[in-house]
Amino acid sequence: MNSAEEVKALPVEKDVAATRGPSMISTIWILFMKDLTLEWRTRARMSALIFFALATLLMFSFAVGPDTKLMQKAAGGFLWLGILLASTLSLGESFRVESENGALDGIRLAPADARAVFLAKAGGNTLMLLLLSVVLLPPMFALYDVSIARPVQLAVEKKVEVTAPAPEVPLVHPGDAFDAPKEARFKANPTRNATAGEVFANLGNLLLVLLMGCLAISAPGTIYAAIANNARARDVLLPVLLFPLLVPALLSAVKSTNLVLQGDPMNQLPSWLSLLAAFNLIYWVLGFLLFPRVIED
Amino acid sequence: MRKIVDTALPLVAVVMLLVATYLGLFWAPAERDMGNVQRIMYAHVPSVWMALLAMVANFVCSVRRLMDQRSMLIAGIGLGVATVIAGVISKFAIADPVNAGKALSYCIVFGILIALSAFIGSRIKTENAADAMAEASAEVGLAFGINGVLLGSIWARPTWGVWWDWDPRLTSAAILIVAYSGYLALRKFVDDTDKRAVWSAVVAIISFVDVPIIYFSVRWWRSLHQIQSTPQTVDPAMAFVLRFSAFAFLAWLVLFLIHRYRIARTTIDLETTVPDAAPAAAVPAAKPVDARGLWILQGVTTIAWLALLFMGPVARMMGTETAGEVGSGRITGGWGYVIAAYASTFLMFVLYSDSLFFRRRAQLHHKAIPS
Repeated sequence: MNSAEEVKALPVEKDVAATRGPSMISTIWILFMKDLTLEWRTRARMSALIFFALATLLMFSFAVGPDTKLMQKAAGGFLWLGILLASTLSLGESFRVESENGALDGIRLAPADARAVFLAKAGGNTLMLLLLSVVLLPPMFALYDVSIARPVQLAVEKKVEVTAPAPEVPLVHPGDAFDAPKEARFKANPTRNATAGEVFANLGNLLLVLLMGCLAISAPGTIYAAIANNARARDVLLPVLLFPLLVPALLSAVKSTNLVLQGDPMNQLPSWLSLLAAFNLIYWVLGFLLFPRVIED
Repeated sequence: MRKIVDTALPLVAVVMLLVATYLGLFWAPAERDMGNVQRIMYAHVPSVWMALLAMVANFVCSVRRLMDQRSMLIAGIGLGVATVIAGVISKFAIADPVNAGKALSYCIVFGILIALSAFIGSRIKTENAADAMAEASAEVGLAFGINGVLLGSIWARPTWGVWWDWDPRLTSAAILIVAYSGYLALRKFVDDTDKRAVWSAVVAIISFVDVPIIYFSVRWWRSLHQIQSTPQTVDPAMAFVLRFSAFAFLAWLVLFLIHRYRIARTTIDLETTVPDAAPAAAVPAAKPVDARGLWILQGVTTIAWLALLFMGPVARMMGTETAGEVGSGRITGGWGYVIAAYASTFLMFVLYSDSLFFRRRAQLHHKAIPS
């Protein structure tokens, strides 16, 4: 199929005929599909990103060493660092393709609303990162020995019942508790296997966290990628601008991921997710308002 | 006006700083629990205040760079009025009378501040002025911010037992420093004047989100850092010294802003009016007064240097420069930390003044005409 046919296949020509140009929604859709089409034709960017992020995850597990407990605790952090590092490549690339041959100028002359360009680009970047993070999940489970089907701790009353009898030999030193026989410690924390419903709930929570985290990276990331793309030293500039900004988002995403993977006895997940939601709200609104000034000439 | 700024302000600034240092180190009473270590507050708190003030100035100038005078005034006043109305609504919506009163007073104060800063921002006449002021305030604010965080770290060691803790306020302060460093890096990396101004204004507005978070972090989350004190909760002598120090720091802030603004403005004006070669004619008009102001700044800085040199001997004279002890409930000694904090502040003032002096002199002598 040659490129002329491809262009015809896009719903552009119908809207161009109209006098006022395409509406905001259809502009977003057209631009979004254009990015997906470009992506699908090469498929190189996505596979490169996946291999990059996989290599990062592997490197993290080498950096921590074979300590399973440590890796389980750090799994969420490693996952998000992998996504974050890959995101700088993906965001930078998403505007590099536009600056080649002045494609962005063409889009603006089309005429496309700059705010629609922002929403389409940021949406495309979100989708890209979301796909990446979903692909990264199974390797993460395997490499760091975490699972969404973790055993569930039994009710507290039972635990008290088991631990209630006082030890016959008084403990000389608080540290002696750790020297107690293994069986005693396991008895103190009885567990059962998770039900299917719990596993699905965990999976749903995890996907929600991934979606919100990717949204949080994409909104400021798209603005900064557009800025850095035209500056000198753009490869350095994007992380320098973006990383400090993303600290709250990264923090809450990592915390939420760990809560899903390691259990959430205090029910802290909603508060971290609302922090992430507030972050998203602020930066998507700011991006929507400010992006037109970034790509104006 | 210019003569006052160039001659009187540096003298006032240095005298006030020396008086504030005397008041903070010797006149103010020692705190009941923290002892002398608490004296770091008189440099730490004003330093952070000035940083936040400079970032607000940076935000206002950035908004002005993106909006014209009229629409900025209208938008700002509209937002201020909306904030006050939101306060009135929440006054009736919140059942708890204490919280309702708090919400109302917060909204009124912030509404007035928003309208006022929009008014001041809308008085900036040219885009170049807004851009130059934005650059100046970000850099000066960063200097004060780094100093404030450094002092906080010095204070944290004897009182919390650690140099650093990842609590919400410290984290958000660290984010502020890195974010505005990125802002200044961006300004260095873009050559086109117009694009640099607009893009950095966008980045400044996005980075500014962190400033209210810093202010409110101690109220929103349970933090190791104490919440804001009010004059009702501290000794009147302490409140007086803190206020005096704040005005001394304000004088230095204004001084730095003016001198940094001149450097930025000259650079930007040269870029926009004379794109290629920068002829001498563009600068000399400002030369005589500027040069005198610079020399006075340098003289004042020398006094600050001398004060810095004498801080060690003064501490020895008091004979109590032992490190603070933690865990006893009452920290004894701790003069070492206090002197280190004040020395850091003086050093920042001195080094930054020197940096401004050399940059401006090079600019006036055409040794470093920017590309």
